[in-house]
Amino acid sequence: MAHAAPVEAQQASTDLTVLLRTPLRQLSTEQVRPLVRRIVEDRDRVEAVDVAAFQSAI
Amino acid sequence: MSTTPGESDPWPLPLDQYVLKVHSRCDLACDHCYVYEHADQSWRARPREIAPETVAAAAVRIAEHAREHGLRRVHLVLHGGEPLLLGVTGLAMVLTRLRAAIEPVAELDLRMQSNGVLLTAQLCDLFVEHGVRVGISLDGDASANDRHRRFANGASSHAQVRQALALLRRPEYRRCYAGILCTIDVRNDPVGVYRALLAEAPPRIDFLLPHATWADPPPRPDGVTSYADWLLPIYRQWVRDGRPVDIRLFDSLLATAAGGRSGTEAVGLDPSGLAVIETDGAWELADSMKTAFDGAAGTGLDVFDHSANVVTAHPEFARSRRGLAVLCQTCRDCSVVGQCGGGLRAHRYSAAGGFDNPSVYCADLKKLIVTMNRESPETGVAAHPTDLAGDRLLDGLPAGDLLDDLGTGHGSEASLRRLAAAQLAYVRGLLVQIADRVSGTPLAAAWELIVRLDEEATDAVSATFAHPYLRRWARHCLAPVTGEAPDWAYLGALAAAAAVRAGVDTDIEVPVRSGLVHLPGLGAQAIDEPGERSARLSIAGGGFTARAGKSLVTVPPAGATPPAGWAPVRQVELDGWTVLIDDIDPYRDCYQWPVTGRLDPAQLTSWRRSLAAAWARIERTVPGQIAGLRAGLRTVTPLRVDPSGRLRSAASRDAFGALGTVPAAPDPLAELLVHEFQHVKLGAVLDVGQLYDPAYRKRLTVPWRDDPRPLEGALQGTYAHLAIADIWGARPGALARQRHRRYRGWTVRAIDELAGTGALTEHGHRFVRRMRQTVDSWSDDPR
Repeated sequence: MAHAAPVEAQQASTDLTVLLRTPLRQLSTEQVRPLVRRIVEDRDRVEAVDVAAFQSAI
Repeated sequence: MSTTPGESDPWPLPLDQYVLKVHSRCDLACDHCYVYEHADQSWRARPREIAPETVAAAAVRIAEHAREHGLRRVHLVLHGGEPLLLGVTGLAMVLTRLRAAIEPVAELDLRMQSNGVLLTAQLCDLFVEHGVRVGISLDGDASANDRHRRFANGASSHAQVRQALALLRRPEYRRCYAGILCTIDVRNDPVGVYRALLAEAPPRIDFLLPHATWADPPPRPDGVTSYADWLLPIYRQWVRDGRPVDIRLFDSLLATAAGGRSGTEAVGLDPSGLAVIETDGAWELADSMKTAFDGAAGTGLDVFDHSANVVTAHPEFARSRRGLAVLCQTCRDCSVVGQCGGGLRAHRYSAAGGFDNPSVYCADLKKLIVTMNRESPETGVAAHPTDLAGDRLLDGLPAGDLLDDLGTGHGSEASLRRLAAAQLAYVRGLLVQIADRVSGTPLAAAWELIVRLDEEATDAVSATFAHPYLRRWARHCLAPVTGEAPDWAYLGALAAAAAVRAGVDTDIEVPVRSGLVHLPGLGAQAIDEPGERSARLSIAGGGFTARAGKSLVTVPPAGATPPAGWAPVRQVELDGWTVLIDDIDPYRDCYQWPVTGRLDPAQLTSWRRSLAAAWARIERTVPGQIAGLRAGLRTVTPLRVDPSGRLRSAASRDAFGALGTVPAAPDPLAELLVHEFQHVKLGAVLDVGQLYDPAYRKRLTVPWRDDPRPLEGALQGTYAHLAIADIWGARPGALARQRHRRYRGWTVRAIDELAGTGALTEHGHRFVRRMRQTVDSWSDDPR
């Protein structure tokens, strides 16, 4: 479970940068969990109420 | 309570979490228990056990609510008192009735919170049978636990609770082990407590601040931040240990620091969709409210006479659903409110001010959050005091120039490349999660190939991951729609596509779907072997040979003549850049309108001509859109034509870089492309930044639709109409002037509506302000 990202990646300024710069092999599920929550779970709620937001009004 | 149903939020979120009290008494007499020892004494009048007809009524209410709101999953916690007092027979009755009513409608996530004293193998067998996961309450080692968790005769419960935990650790019951709930007593040694809990090998630990209010504050023997000072040594030890277990409070604060959901009602601003059903069928607010005053959790509603919809419309329920709007001014002005969320509502109660106060744990929460952010193991989140303020978007993208650039309605190449990089990072993160799920299966070989290519051919992997519809597949795997199985095998297709792009030599198993082997972003090969579900791909030099049953077909590298069954993703050249016309990807059907099948040659030629003509119109009328489109639009997916001839177009939050549209004449097609690309851009901004309070529930009146829209929908529509007004402003003629004025007016009205909600964050204000500046900069009389 320990974070395996290289030191230079850990010191980079963002999660995003870590995800881009760290080899996939070294990324842990711990590191990506907040992101997955945001992308997968949070979207459920918004899309449930907002699917028509993308409907063309033309 | 004195409140009346039906006078609150007209658009409440549905309930997806329930606490069902199945027994109202307990076999322990813990002196810190909020049910018996705090202000509320309603337990005295409740039936001891829940009756079968009450279970049935509750189950029907939960199921009908899930059906009405299309909920995919419902979470239900069996609670008490002590739920195990109901015994094997009683619990079997409850579980059978709940599952029979709810599972035909939605997936049922069943949990139980127990003191564990009565747990037996027979009960564990029952929980395995019904898929119940059990959380056990334990406050630490024997001395820590015995401060409060004792029997009525004063005897320790510690040994029996540990026996229950040992039972749950047995391999046959491990799947039922949900975790440990620990109520903090700051007199205990924090790291000693952490170590004692860790020794029980729980999947998760949750530390609970003892319920307290301003009227009845918690003991603070070590000063005003006793609880932060108690939790921080645990946090630091947990980080040093490599975070060997989920600790909900810490995970939640780290998640909110990164812009995610807290996943708990204890912290964060996420709206809460939780209701309690008591043993007599009464609907109640969250249990913690019992600590505020007698009857504080009551609603006056019950499952026999009131649906869950009535509960969600109850004004007191609406007030308890979190979000900025229900917080006091001190909280709203606080730099960490995005993470703290004001803590539990019950903890804000005072006799004089009701709930309009910061939490009685305010100083503790703030110190804990600020310190965790500063010491965060997740790198840069420490730089963000809150996601509601600051000069950076989430994920570290500088906010100012990005929002100012995109707020014009256009967008530079640099801005779009930054958004694309964020999306690439998200795909990588989602894949790491998927890899974890397929670990130990044959699909691990596909992941191993991907990680190898990620090191040896990074550009090819990045190009593969940039395929717009991958995120939709990944999300489908991690949160599948009820009744649909996750398509894990597609990971093999993804690995194969990366290998083909990289030009490496390898063999890999790939799925066959509807007679096709898909290579995402590249194309699909027909396999003439009915019934085969998988094929073996031998990849070499940018081409591959597919074997399935007796079928054998070779697809050479690009440039050579392919076999008849090869259907590549085709493209159109647009004045120096190319857009893919994807009519074959299995995950492209992600819009509210149906997609077409494979275009025949004549249709393809027509599409290419239409897109080229539309692009020429865009270049001529709105050159400010060109750089963004060239950098960000990768794929156009043809949609089926509306039988009535109405134009259709769409974008999906899960498909950055893609849009769907019907064919159209050059001018309207240009308009559709620009319109949908606005949604693509803003969706990507919303992925990286919080522009509005997610708990804001009111709907906004917008000029372009009759029905009130949620805030995000209004924001998306405004951004789209900003660009449409821009297009019409550049077109000649009276009709164009008229349309420009109409769309410009709509945009201004919607901007004012958005700005007046009070729900925009600092970033949201900046973005909306920039849109307004853009409109104001336009000439009053274009052309």
